[in-house]
Amino acid sequence: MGIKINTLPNTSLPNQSDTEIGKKTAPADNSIAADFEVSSANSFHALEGQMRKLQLLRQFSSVDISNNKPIQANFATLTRRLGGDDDEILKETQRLIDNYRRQIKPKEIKGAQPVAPGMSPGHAYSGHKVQREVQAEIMNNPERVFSGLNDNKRYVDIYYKNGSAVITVQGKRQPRISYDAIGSTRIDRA
Amino acid sequence: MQIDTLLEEKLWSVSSENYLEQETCNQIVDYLLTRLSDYLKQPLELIGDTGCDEDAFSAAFRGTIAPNDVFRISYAGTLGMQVIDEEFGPHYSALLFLFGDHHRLTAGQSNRSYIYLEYQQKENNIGQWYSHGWGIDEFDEYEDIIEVEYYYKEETNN
Repeated sequence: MGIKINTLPNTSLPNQSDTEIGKKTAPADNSIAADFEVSSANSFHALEGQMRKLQLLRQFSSVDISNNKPIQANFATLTRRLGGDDDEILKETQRLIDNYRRQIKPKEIKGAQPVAPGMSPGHAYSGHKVQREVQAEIMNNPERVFSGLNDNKRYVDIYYKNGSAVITVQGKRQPRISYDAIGSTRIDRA
Repeated sequence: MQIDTLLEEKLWSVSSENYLEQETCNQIVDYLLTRLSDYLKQPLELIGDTGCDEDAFSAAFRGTIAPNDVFRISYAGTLGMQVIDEEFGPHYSALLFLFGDHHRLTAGQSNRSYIYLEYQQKENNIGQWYSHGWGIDEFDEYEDIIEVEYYYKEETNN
């Protein structure tokens, strides 16, 4: 099916490309940059530090969703979530890959419900003034994608582009989106 | 302050099909900020423009340092609303960032933290602010909130 699963242990160190996240590998999109400056003045700074921190904490793994290449990822967190059932892992992995590659429309994006009462739900606009169009652009053309477990014990995906990120419930960028992110901030929290 | 029952009705009826008009959006932001100010017993004022985006809004605000406060405690924050979905409805919240003598204050071992407040719908569709206490800024989503503090400092020096 063209899927390559790296069954790396969860304690694997970041690879070389992980440590080069500060490099801007995608061409700058002036229209998107302008949107950020207008709509999210306090949310346009780099997340390189946060991304490095996440990897150092070893809670997140990098997902390579480059075109024309098999998707590569450390699916250790997924394995943990599904309890090691190979068929289930393969099925869920395919669903996640389909989700990563699917182009979404801004109108499809919704905020994520909170993990528990009293916890923050999706707040991409209310917290960071990041419009749906910008969120969709980041998710449809990310430089990097990370997947893992956040502090609220929720599995999330992080889509990163040009110093901004959107965090979604894992495998559910449509229909639910949170983050902060990413918000971002660039980051919107799930 | 007086409860504005008409505005309360409007703010709880926002949905993906029932968008906010710009004027109503601004009225709700002013109203909620005043109610938050009453709840916190602190004077608050808006900073910059309020963003209104169909079924969401976002505004930045700050508090003022009380006269003769030797610790120079001040506040910065965001006030926002976002319709989550049909089941959850509109969600009104505020994040409060504390500063002491122009340094951002955090809780416990965390490098960054904030106080999370929710405007909750009570009986008769009248809302009430409620503080959930300190939350951790896990992804440093609000690391640059300090820029608000710099702006504040410059202005107070003038």
